[in-house]
Amino acid sequence: MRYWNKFCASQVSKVGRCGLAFALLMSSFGCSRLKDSSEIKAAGNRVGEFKGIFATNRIIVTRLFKAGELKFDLTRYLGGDASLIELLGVYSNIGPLNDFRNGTPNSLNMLLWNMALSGLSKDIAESCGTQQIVIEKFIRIDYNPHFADRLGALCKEPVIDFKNEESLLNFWWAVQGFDAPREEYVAWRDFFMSPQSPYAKASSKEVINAMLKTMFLNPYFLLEH
Amino acid sequence: MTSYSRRKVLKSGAAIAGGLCLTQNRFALGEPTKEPHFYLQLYYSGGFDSSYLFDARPLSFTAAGKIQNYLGQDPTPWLGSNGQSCLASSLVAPLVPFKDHFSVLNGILAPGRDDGHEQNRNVLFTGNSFGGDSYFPFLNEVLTPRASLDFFVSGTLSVPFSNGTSSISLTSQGVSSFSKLVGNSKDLSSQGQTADFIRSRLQLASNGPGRFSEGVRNMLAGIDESTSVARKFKNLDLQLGPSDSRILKELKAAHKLFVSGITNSLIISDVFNNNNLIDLDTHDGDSASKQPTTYQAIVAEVAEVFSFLKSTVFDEAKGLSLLDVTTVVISSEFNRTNYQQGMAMDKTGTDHNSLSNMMLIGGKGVRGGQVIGATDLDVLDDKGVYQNLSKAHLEFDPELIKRMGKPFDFDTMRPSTGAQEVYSADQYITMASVANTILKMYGCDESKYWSNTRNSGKAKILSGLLT
Repeated sequence: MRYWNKFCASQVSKVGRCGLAFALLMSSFGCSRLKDSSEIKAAGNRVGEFKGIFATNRIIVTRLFKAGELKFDLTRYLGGDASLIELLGVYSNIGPLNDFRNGTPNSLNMLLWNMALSGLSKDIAESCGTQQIVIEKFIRIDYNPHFADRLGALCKEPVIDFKNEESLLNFWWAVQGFDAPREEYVAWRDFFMSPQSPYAKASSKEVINAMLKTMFLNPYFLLEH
Repeated sequence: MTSYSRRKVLKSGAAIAGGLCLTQNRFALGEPTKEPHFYLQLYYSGGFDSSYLFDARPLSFTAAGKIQNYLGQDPTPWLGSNGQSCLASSLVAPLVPFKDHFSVLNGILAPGRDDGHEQNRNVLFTGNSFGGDSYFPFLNEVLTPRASLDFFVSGTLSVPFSNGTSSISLTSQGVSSFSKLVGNSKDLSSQGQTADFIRSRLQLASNGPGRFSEGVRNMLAGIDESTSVARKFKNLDLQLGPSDSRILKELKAAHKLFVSGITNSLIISDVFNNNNLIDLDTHDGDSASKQPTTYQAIVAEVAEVFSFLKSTVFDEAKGLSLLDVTTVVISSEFNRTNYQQGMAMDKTGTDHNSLSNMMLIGGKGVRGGQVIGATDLDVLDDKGVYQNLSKAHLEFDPELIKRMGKPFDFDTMRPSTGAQEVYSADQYITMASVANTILKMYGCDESKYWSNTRNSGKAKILSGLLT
């Protein structure tokens, strides 16, 4: 865990004090205004709901693609029906309140998220050895240099190198950022690096596909927390 | 040494109480019903002006400057099978063939008396002007088999529900697209050890007490159900014709969603035929003057709903139509005022009126053909002065422009005689009463019933409405 600890020591401590002060401030508001649970939910506290299609799309663009990229649209993996977008969580602008709709995970939206993110994972894995993803055969989108480096490192076979945790950790950070706690990384790393891993003898494309899918479908990536 | 903090004591008490409730509920509920029971609600946003539907006033009231009437016709009595009646405008004529299949509820009062669209929409669906839990998941809970989704919304409704597994804003076209899309997809359960790993992380994160863990539990439940949902959508066979009206498309989708087990409850919200924009929020005289056309279109849609449900076979062997197994509710968020103050009666618009609402409720579980509840501002003396007004009305509406629900005797199922001296929400038909009646109809546990106000008991049931 030395890589994780080193990175966190330099980055997290800077925001930690501000975060603590903010949390204390917010908790004092929470204590001073007692509401019943239905009111609190309606007031827009969305912990446990999907971040939503637009926020998730933006996160993916920021972390994976070239700055200012506008072509990437996760819903391309859903057959292009605009009405399905809403099922992945959107803010509505009907009426004076800007409600968030379809934030609660259910069977329908889990099917859609799985479909969209599996499609994206597959296309990224297929792009090994290049600097860009190709979607639907004609949409080409450049990766940002940071992600391209980390993906490129894993694309070099053999992927699963027990001495090379650094490239795995870098790939995790590139996709997950600080969304998930350390335990999630450790479990993910062990799943792919253990001698019993189902991917021990898989090709780099197969491994990267599975690595991305498991990161994208991690609750810390998809849900507000 | 063992210490007993207040938290520990409360937690233990809650656990014991929860256990007792569970035991009690099993006895109270018995076996979940195995009969199909669907719930279909048409929601029109903006606020019904019930004077164009089932709570009209004579033209003499318009002549006396008490209420606008752009239809220019005298209403006629709509006689209920329960001996009660209301005045209905001629626009409701297309509903006469279905009269025995639904009852009219008038004078449904919002206890909070907030006048906003959002607040009253929240009251309609959750009993709380801030929003909250709806009753749809509870209806699904008692049915066997449970549907995959607790409710489904077709249309533009911005849903204030905070509970249940939902699917929102997927119109018939979206349902059709989705069924084609999932036909070619792989669900997570078919993805071997990778899926097992994803599930193991979800399970770990779902163990906490907070809302994030609750969200993760929803993810897990969604994944568990997704294989079955995909199969149901794949076999949906929804055929939408190019010449189908918009409401017919939504009804066809509702039928398929019901019988496939995807949902038992569906709300069709503001889906108007031929893309007509129907404006119920008629603050100005110009839009108010179009109300006869507006309500003619709404009545036509409602008639189409009953016609479709009645003519669609659900179980040929048992001779059941879709209407026989579906409870139907037609609603808006509130009523409208008689006029806008300071405007001439032939140029006036109308404002929000949360002191009364009108609903139609019919189909399975409902004793149709009745008129239940009434509003005041219904008696004028020779000098054009309202008679029999309660102190509550004078307090809430001193301008006398809002028809207010009359106090209601829940034992006799008739408006109470005599004016109330002191206002108490429990003496009126409220949305909580309607919701509790629906919950009772389904056999839901009384702990799920709504209260009129935070500190009051459960709202009374409209027992005479139930079969």
